[in-house]
Amino acid sequence: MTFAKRRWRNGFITLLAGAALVAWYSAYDVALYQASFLTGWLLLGAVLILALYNGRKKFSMLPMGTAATWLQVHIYLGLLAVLIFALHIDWQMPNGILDSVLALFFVTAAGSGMFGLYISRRYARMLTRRSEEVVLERIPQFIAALRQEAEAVVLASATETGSSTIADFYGNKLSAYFSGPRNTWLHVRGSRRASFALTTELKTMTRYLNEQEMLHADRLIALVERKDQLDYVYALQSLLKAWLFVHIPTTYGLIALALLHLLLVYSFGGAV
Amino acid sequence: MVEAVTIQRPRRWDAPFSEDMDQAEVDRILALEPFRDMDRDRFPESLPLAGIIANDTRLVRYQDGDIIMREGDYGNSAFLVVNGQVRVLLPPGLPETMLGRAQTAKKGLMQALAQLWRNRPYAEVRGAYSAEQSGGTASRAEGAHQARIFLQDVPAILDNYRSATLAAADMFGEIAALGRTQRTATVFSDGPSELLEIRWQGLRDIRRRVDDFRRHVDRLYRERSLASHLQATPMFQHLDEATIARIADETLFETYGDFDWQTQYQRHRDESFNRRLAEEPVIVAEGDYPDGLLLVRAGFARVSQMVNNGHRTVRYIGRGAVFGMAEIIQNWHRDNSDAGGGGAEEQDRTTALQATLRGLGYVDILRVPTAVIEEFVLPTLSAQALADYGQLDDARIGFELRHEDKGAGHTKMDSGILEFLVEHRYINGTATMLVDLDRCTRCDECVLACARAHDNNPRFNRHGRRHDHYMVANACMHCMDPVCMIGCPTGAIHRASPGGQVVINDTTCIGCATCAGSCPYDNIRMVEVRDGNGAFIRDTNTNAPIAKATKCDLCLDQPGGPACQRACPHDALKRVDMQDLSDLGRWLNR
Ligand code: HEM
Repeated sequence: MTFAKRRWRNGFITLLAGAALVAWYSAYDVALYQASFLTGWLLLGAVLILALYNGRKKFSMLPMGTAATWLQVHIYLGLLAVLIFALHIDWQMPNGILDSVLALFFVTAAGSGMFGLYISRRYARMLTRRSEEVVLERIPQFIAALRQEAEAVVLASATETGSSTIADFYGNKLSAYFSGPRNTWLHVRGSRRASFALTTELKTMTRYLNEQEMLHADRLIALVERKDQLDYVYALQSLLKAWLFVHIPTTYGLIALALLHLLLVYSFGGAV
Repeated sequence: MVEAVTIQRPRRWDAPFSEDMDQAEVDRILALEPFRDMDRDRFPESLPLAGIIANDTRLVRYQDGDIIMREGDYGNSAFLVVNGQVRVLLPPGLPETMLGRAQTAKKGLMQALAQLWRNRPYAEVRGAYSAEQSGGTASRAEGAHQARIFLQDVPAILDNYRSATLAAADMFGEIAALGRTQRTATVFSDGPSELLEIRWQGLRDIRRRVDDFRRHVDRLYRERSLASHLQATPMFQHLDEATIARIADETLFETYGDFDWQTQYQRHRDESFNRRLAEEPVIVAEGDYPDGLLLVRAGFARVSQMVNNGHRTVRYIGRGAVFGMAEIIQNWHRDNSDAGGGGAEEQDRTTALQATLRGLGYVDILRVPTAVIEEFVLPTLSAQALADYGQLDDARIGFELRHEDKGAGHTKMDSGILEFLVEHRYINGTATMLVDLDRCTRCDECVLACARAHDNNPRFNRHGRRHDHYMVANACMHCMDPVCMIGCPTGAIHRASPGGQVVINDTTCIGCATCAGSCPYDNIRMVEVRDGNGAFIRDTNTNAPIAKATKCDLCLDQPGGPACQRACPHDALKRVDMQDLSDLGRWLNR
């Protein structure tokens, strides 16, 4: 099955389920039952199933269906959960402190999920288009190596040409650039402003160089470009990992708060 | 003045099979059957029989119970009994464990789960290596680089298993060696014996020049496996035994390319496309008259069509595939429809072969003459079958693959990826790891899952050659033609039954690295093993760390199958059987 077909199918199923849910909810409401009990339990069930995906990942050795299938269920059930949530809170933010925090946790979990899905699809392609395959954890090492190379070039230029133009420029502009990953926020937004500015400055600086110095400058420019590549990969891969540090903790916070909420509702909410 | 005559010495003789074949030994062998009766004049001066004996053979001595070849192994040499006798075990043969192979049982759910806490904190930890695991066999070192697996209780084996005796002048193993197929039986030494081992290059040259030998080899093949190969070919499946036998009688055997394709491939892989293409032997060319139906018995072939001044790969075919059927059917239809017509005009309308077939590495071809197909096969096929098999490879259609399963429509395969897969011989794989980098978020769940299933040691590298947004990761591909299995001295690397996955028995692996060196894809890693405390396990004699060959085993012992593929949340990773082009096409066109 193509991805497009699968998207249509799963989307359609979700839409149907959503429509059925709204119908059920209305019928419940009309019958003067407390519809928020229905949506509350459904929401808790959905959130628990969504959270189970974390377990599936840890227990990869057990034959429990592929992670890809789980993620499909996760994504569409996640979207459905947003609808259930909206029905549950009757389309407006709750007033009480606990309820507000709980709602915030849900919004954060679901919102980060959608964000994560978006960058998972988008960054995968961006990484493929613009970079070599590099393992995230090794990028600092590679950057350190580039820095050493750059310093060697600067040193060589100073001793061979007797001029400090390149060395000065390095000291002012590049030593910070080479000392670790840079421009992360610009890269994740797809902006190349910083690297463009740096290249422009480098080009301006080279106007005052002679041929011998130019050789060194060219090598330095090549290193700057390679560093920019690494920064790019670092930024994208970091965010691909980092969003889960929002998504997963809020999930557990959400479940804890939801259970508390449940307890309070049944103790004081008159659900007898 | 007499000018010195120089000849070009066959390259393979730069590295003789053995350093020990001196003149006296060569003379002794030449005096034995069957060499004694071979006509020396049939061999060119550049390739004398004595030269073949000196360079392509070696004498090997075995002790009582030594296993000479194992059923299911791949080998590239045949053996001639010089002194003593050997036993061939008749079906059903010895159990797997006696052959130095590991028995892989699937883990239960609890055992699988226990990997979460039982996996060890150090890399490559092994328990004690005990001889217990290989029931009835043991191994011993023989010389510097040799190791032997031997049967511990020969009399018991002779009592319990049926066997046949081979004595001086008997030869065995030539079919598997020349056809590059699995050994069909286990052979062991019954008492001490001396054998002449002939590597395939020598066998091939002798077969070419000695009619008796060729007839002997061909007859053995015809008797033993040709009929079953023909019977397995789709368009022959409905034929009765007698007809198959008639076809077998007329079938010709041909081999193309180099048996050692992996070394050639490694040497040439960085050359230009056209240079490499020029080195691939042409089996039949586009525009040739289709004088026979070609069946691939072993190896791979590239199907290409001329486009402008270049060759465009349309498809690749492997073991069991056929070539040329469509053209034969077209010509047969034409002959039948205008039986009265004739002359030059008819000649013009003959459908020539629509594509060129080239050997990729080593290819073994069966050629069934067109007349035989016309007489025995075509009249018995249904109109539907004739229509299906009669579809020509047409350049205008592009790279559409016809689906075997009805209603699945067409699956286009981009020619670039096809060339890439053929170029790098990834088509050899039955479980090639393809990663779609446009879907891969680089989360490494695949590597983690692999590690969890292998005692914390990942058995592949999420790294490899790229084409467009696809990557072939460095993971064992479980090849159709597993060159890694040739020359393993203990048979530790073997095909698991019944799945056929290529696996290594860690207990019998002696760490010689033959397999790792042979793998053209660099997918076997040598590792130094540790005990439970993280200390290297060392050889009692040399104190050198013990090395073992490791690679992907397709999670043979895991309840769910390959963990890497199951662990990928984004549908980015798939283990692909490269022979299943429609499955591959579907995946590439998601
Ligand atoms: C409030 C409801 C949700 C909860 C409780 C929840 C919970 C989780 C959990 C526990 C994981 C496992 C992460 C891991 O172990 O690596 C996860 C992963 C994920 N979730 Fe959600 N999620 C929710 C909603 C959503 C929504 C609405 C979407 C998108 C439409 C989404 C998309 C994802 C994605 C893309 C992943 C990671 C896939 C991967 O790389 O493995 N989630 N979620």
